[in-house]
Amino acid sequence: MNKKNIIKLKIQFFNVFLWLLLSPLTVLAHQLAIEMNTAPGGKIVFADHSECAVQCVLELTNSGLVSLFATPEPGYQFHAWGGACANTLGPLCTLAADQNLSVSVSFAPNNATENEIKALLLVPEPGVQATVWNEFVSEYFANQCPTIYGGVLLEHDAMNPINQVYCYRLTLGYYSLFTPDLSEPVELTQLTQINAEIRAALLGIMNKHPNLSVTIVAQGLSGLAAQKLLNEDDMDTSLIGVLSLASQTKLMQQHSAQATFERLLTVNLTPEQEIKISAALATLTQTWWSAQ
Amino acid sequence: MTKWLIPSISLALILLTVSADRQITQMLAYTLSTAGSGLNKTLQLVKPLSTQNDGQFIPLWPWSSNDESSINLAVSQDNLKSARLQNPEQQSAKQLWLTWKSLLVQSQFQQIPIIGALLAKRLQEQTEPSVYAAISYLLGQKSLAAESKALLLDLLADIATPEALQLLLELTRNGQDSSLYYLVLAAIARIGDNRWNGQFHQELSPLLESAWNDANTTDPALINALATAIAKIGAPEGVNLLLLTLSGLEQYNQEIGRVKQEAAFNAVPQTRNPDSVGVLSEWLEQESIGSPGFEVSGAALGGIGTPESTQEIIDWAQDAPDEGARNLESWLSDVDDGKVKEALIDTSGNLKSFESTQVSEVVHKHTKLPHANDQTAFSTSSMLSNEAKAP
Repeated sequence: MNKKNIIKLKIQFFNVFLWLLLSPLTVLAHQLAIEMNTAPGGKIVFADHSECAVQCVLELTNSGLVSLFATPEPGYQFHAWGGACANTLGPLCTLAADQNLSVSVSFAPNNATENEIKALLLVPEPGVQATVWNEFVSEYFANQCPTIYGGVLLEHDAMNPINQVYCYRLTLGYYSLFTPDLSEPVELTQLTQINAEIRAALLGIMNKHPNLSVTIVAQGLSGLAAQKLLNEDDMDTSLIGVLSLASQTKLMQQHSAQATFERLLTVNLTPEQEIKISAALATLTQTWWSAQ
Repeated sequence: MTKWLIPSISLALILLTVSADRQITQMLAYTLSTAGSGLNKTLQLVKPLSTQNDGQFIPLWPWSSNDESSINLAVSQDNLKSARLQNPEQQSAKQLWLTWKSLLVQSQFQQIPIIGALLAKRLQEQTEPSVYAAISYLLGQKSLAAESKALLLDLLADIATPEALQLLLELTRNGQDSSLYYLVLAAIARIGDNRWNGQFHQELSPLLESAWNDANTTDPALINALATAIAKIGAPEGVNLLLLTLSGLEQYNQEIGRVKQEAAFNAVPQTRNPDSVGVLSEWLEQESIGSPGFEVSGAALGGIGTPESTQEIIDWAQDAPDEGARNLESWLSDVDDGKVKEALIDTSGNLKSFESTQVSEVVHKHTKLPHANDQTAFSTSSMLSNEAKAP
């Protein structure tokens, strides 16, 4: 073995040693390097509202999930994701990240010129279907309240001719199936993801209606997520209010004898919740809805 | 020799370290999967949804040797690679199904409801038997993770077509021992909540009614799920069947009859379909006060809360005795007071009167108007003008 080969061998040993030493630490530290490729017309924003211009390193949450938001500048709208988010529809890309990523996004001019629209976004709590709003939507919106998923609107939306308001109801992803780190409470993971879904819904609606004012009606944990968003809103959206309702599932758990099965079967609003929503809508009609 | 020995040991050490970390195992598997032809082997490494206590990996798709054309779509690997979605809104049901599976394999749980909704929409527009066959095949595989099956059942409840419901009903025949059984019942029970295109889907009711009448339907949990679905869909025939059962006019085995009566009693008040107003009002008129059929018919009419259903309650209240006041109070609490006011005016423009003073007081309480029986206290025109001035 000549001297040159010995040096090569030492380098190989050193590299293996370094890799073995550092790779577990990298995983434990939950850091992620992301390379961005953002086209003109917008930016990618993280869940903590920070932006990544070209390259950056993220501290991951314990759940290991990364939420990226394609946020257009005024006059533009989200068009498509690329790279690690290429399979994603809508402005929210959630990745269970365990490797460094390369992500790209593109935006397109948005020529919509519309007067300000008023909208109501209905958000169920985790584990409850969007059908929980059926009676409310039937009563106040003549069943015209399309579901929005991760900022993707798959149905036609229309302004209700009586109250002059658009209505949307949000469906959450299957976040409980991500495998969160046991050191982080499930509620915290859910709170973060609901917050992300609501942000995505606002971006999705703004894609269609750039001049938007939204009020959110949300149940339980989702109400907390919406309030958090209202407090930190820097997206220049127009989230103007949140009506938080008591958790429906907790109400049902009080009837513990049938709790497990009823939780699966019952999704109607309680009369108390219906009254609260009705009263809130009536107040809005007299003040904000009609003030514009 | 040394030249190959060191890299080999290094690689072995790396693989040993890597295999201890599930996330990196997934990453490795994913990397291999995108490499091309080795996909089948790769998926054996990946446990896409949950970790078993013993740490054993379960392949998502079983690799059966008896492939048939009907199950090709279930095990097809054509679209499992991380290919970019091309115009998903224009994809066929088959393509969307493959995309849905692909998302499941990649654990992209945030995107699954989006493609699931598109797939449901496509199947609602036009049926595609091969997709239902593929779902059925996968649900029948013992090796498929329970979470994956739960998502498939959710998908069927979102599709909510007769084919999807038929599949759910067939799954109940696998027996209560199946770990899937209660999830299937939950999916059946909530299928009536799915008002896709903003409509009640009465075409589902005959299947549910048939299952209700089936002599083999004896499990109380299944009976409850069927009753809930029938009531929430609210087809007149279905609601009538529940009321017939409740009144004892349908003949069942004594024990099963009692279970069905209880299920119907709990379910009928959940009816919200305005098409059932006619049936409900007939039962309200013909049943005696205090009977189960009477109680649930009125509760359902109050819950429906349309001008027509409110009209039926007020019409009944006109001739109702004092003991009907308690029921009326309960039913009107679900109805918008404005609709009660409208229902108080007869076709000639006059206010309706009530035989019972107690009943009249309940109406008064909800309309905030003088007693409806006191015709001299106000006129229809004054009531309407008061209403017009209201904020």
